Amino acid sequence: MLQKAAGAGIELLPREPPIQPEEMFDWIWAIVQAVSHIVWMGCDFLGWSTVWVRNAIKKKELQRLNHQFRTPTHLAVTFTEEQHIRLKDVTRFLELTMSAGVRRVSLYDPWGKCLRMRAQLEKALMNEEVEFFAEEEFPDLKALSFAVQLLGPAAGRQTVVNSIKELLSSEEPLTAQQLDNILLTRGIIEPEMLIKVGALPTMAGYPPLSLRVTEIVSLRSLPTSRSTFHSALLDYSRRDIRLGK
Amino acid sequence: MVSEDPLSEYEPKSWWDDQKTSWSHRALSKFLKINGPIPAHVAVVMDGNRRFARENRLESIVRGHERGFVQLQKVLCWCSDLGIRELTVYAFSIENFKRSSEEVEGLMRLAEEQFKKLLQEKEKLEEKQVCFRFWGRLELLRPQLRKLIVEVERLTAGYTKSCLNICMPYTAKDEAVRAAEVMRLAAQEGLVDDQQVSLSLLRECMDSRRSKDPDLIIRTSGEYRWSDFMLIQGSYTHVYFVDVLWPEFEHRHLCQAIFDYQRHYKSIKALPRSEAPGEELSEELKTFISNYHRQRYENLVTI
Repeated sequence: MLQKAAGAGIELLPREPPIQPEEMFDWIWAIVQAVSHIVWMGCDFLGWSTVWVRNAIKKKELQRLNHQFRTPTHLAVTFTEEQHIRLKDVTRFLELTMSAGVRRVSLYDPWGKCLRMRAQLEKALMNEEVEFFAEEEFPDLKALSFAVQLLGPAAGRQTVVNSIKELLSSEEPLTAQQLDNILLTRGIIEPEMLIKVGALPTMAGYPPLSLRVTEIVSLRSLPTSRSTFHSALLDYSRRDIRLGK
Repeated sequence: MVSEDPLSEYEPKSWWDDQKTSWSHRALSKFLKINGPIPAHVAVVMDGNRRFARENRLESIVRGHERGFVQLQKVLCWCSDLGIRELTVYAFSIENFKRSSEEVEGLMRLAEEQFKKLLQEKEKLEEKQVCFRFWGRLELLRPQLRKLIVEVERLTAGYTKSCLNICMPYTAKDEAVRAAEVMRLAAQEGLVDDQQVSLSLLRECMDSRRSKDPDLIIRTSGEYRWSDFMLIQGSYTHVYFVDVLWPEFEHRHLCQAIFDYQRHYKSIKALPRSEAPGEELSEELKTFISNYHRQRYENLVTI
């Protein structure tokens, strides 16, 4: 009897219309959007946002602007993590810079690993017209088509201190030009572009006074393929250099 | 009904923003304090005021700088909440004198107005205990502004709760040359020889002599360069580039920068440094350097 009544009751209630496929699609879409918003917010806070989007845009732009690169005459590299300093990678990178038309490359690391690599680099690039020099060696750059400067820990702030030592005996008040000239004799020249290699967001002690208006490009590892190197150059090419104006 | 002027929020009112902090700000601050160390000294390149003025079609570029000044007041307040004891801001570069006379004039006028306002709020300043310091070639500023700067520095010299260093007109190269000049004068007096020249002596002669190296440098406006700012002091500092104009720099951007600092500070601290420690400075040399700086400040009022 009860069953019958219950059954009758159920029959009396209006039936729930089955979920339409379009509605289901709306629900799924809303859930996907909510999840993606949460993920994006998290990534944005961590500074990882839009990495893949940026890469995709870069790739497209790279194809479009392949011929519009601005190549720096002097390109510098500062390593913030020791594991990225590998002979094979550095050799390949130097070959790429040479072929792009860069005339001078400065390689710096606070461990002195690049300096210790000099003989091996000379051997690896013996078929190329490359001149290697360390801090305080200063070859005639005009005569060279491609020069590589190897800088170690002593080239950092200590170079500024050592340069000032040379100026102490001056009779006249010091000028910025005098300091620049002394730094020049120590081989410290401002690069137009600096590639910061590694995850640490610091210059790791790169000769400080030479980074006044240098454009900084941050990369996780040293570019060793044509596409990654061109992508870094593209990044540099798009920069607007204002020099105080 | 009083209609609100849409530009009124851009007008700097007071140095001290006494608005209640929102729950989200408090929660983020609390999280960061638990998560890791808070940088003691943060330096900021406040870039993007002009672009902000252009993008928002403000009546003049100077209005963009006014908005930038409002932002500085907010950041000062956020830093205080977060426990950042020292803030250094790059307000005006020596190179900026190349800009139009209208803009330079407007900026100088804005600075004068704000320092006058600061001196009028002496009670509040005493309550906040913020010590103001000015770095740069102050001799290039006009006499009225120099006088105000000296007055603000003298008034706040004894305040110890926090410190605001304002760089105007400043470049790192100029600071290094002026420091080298102090060393040259000391050498002429026979107080310094080659052996005593060290990084610690150089630091002692620089504008930043009373501060430690910054722990974190923030550069706004999506530019990836130093623009001649604290190059020697920031040689091993965490640099955070953020793609937002200075007037749009929000609390969350500051928190993101601090969070990034907390992720990397141990690795950055572990980087090898090879600077020679240098000898202890003699009392005579210390007196010479402090007298030099005192004399320079006295000259700022008289020249």
